[in-house]
Amino acid sequence: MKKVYIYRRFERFWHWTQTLLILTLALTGFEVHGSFSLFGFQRAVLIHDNAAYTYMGLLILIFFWLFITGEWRMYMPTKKHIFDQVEYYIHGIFHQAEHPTHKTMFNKFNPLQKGTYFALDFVILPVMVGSGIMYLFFSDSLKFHNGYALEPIAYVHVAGAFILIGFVIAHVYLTTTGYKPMSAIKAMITGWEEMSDEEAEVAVRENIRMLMRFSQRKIMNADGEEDDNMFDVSLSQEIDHTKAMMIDFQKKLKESNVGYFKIDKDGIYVEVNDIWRELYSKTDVGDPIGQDYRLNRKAEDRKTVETVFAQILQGKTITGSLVARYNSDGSKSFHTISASPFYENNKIAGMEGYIIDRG
Amino acid sequence: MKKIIQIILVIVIPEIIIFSIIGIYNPDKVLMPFDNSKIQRVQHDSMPADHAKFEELQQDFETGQQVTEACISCHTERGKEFMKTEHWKWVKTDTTISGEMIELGKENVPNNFCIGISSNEDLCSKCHAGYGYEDKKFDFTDQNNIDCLACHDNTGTYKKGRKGNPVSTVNLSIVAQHVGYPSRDNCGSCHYKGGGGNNVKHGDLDQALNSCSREVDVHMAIDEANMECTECHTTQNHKITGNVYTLSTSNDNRSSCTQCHTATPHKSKTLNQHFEQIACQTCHIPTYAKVNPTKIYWDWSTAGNFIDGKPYHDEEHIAGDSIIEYSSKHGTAIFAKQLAPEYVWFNGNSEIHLFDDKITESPLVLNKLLGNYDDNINPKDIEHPSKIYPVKVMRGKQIYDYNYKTLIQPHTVGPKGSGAYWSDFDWNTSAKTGMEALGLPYSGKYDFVSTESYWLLNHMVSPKEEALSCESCHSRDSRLSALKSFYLPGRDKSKIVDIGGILFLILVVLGVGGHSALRILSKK
Repeated sequence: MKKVYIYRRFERFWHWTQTLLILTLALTGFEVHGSFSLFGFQRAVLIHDNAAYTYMGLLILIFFWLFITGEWRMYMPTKKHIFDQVEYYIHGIFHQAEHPTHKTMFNKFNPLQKGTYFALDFVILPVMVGSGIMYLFFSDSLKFHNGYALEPIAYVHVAGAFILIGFVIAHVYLTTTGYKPMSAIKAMITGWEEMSDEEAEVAVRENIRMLMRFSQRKIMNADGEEDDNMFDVSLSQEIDHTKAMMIDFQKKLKESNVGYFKIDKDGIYVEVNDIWRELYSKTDVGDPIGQDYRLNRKAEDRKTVETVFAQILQGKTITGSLVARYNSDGSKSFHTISASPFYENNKIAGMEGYIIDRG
Repeated sequence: MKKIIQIILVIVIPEIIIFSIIGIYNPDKVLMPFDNSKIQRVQHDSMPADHAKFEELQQDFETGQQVTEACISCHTERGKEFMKTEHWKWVKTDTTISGEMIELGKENVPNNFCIGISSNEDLCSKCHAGYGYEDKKFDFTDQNNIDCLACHDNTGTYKKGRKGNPVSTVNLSIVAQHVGYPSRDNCGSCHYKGGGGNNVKHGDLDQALNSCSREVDVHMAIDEANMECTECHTTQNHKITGNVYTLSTSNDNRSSCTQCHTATPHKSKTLNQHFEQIACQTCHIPTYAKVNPTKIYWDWSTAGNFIDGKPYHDEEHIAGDSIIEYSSKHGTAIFAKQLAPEYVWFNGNSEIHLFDDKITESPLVLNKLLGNYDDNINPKDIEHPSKIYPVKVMRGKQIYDYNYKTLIQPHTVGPKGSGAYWSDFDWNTSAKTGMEALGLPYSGKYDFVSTESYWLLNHMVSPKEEALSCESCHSRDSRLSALKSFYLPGRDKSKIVDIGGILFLILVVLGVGGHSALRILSKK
């Protein structure tokens, strides 16, 4: 299992605000409709109006976001894989089959979701907002000519509300069809979605592909036109090449006499390689894992080491500094050190580096 | 840790802020609400003269006419002025909705209480502002017949009897020496007692108003504004504002709340907007007949039963405070108090059924209050000012001419042998003498027809805390359930939309339930 970043901050904020707004609107709306009494008619109307204006404001932000980022494209209905998706829900899901499509940051929806969300965001919500505004300004409408009839507006608004509640029920249920039942909900809270390794691979590739797109990288074909196919091929090659390089690098590292270490941001060794252990074998440090990074340092060096560590945690990199090792027999050996921060979730999580023996 | 802080910052805190604003913010507040304390009350001058010191009044008056003569000897123009008013003429000219002039008076307009005055003047004229009105021969041109004291007595001892003359116990000299502006007592001595007793007719005009608490009427409450009738029913040269729509067809001369209050008196914009469709009275008179019962039903057709050959009277409590009453003279009546009004659209115009109009419907509506939702759709248009008003609906059965299809004026008051129903208990002769006095034909065959009359409620304004709440109308058991012609949020629903919606939700839940059950089973 891996986690992939799918939902950015604004998307999570918008989703949960929208959730609460829809529930508030439904609760107060059906009270205004006369279905039950809870807040009292007057309070219900006030809350409903306030929530409606807030939702309209939020919708403006959402549509602005979708328009600017171009992500409205993921709402466009498609027939591609639509039957695979239907087949998955009526058959595959009961046999623990793989999801036929994959969720990525820039294409979150399967074809059925695309259809549903398209209808929701571009048909039902506009109708609800439209009828809601007409409802809000009904008594003002009477000041101009003959105004309009409230009855059909109200019934459209109520019908829309039933559809939205139906959507909410189905939506909550379908969140349980992710990698684990709670994966999708956790993802909507943290942004990181749990996926199988294979799905994660696809998602990360897709995220990188789209981010490259956004970085204005275009691949032209022989005629000088933009060519998505060539772009995809080239991207794929590049990712594979990077992967191969990484594997090669790890391999070469193993064969070299370079010592590797990794220290977390609390200054505790979390990983060293065999070369490192060999270089330090003449000292009395023993197993460094779980020890403080200042091990084997004399008092006069400590301050320097602490400064360097702090700088690296700020994001700096050091190369080729000369460092002494104090052996058990009292002699000194020297190595050069190169170190840089390492990252987790885009945050500095500690430092890692290499040491090369100087004798 | 960092993750949790991020979640709190991105999701929890913004939602708390947004939703506390949504829950608390009230955009409906009027920023500069009307200040009720700034209402200016009409201030009368103090009495300019002490009538007890007037020489003209230092005499032993034998009759009312002598008093009036004394009054007019100083107030030389008031008599002529008064003789133009309805209090004197018992008839007025009004315009119908189609613009025709129409004469409306106690003679030609039937009601469904005591029905009409013709042939019964002897008793009815107890409430005529004149002396000696016993039949058609009454001289409406003689100033001395004006009863000044009925309205201007300030001693509280003046009382009228048959023919409108003062009862013998009244000391006319003392009364004449203590006259002044009309008080609630004066107006109430007739207006509280329409229909034959206190609060019988209107339901919102009750003797109790003379010394009531604010729960009964905020304006007239003795500990509060303690207002006199004439403060709202402003008067100039004896012409008093205010219409009763059983005897008016047009919007002229009404008194209204906005004489003192503005058209936007609330602190809520929504409530102020409601004023465009809803009269003040609708919300602010949630109940009427608050203290004493009012008559809501009068079936004349059951009159005339005797026990042991004698007329009798019987009363029985039915649901709540209601009383069902039988008397051989009157038939069956229902009295009730603490009543919720019925509601109508009303634009200030009405159609009045006259004695010579044909009966075309049952129940026959004696005064159709005109107006409907559709002529309110542009409330800024003064031609179409319909609003929802509260009414007392008086229902009953009364005598009509079976062949001519007109209402009958029965002769009810009179000695034995005169044909008066209350003495002779014979509808046929009663109808005959009554119609003769009215000057309309009677075919000789009578029956009874259901009738309704509509009484707008304007008094017994409750304190604002007791005004109707939103739910009184905006709920499934709405007070406005009879007004069907428009969509009212909270009251109305479309069966198709609501049932369809619930079926849809049931299908969704079943789908979700079935699918999840299959998933759980398939995992095992």
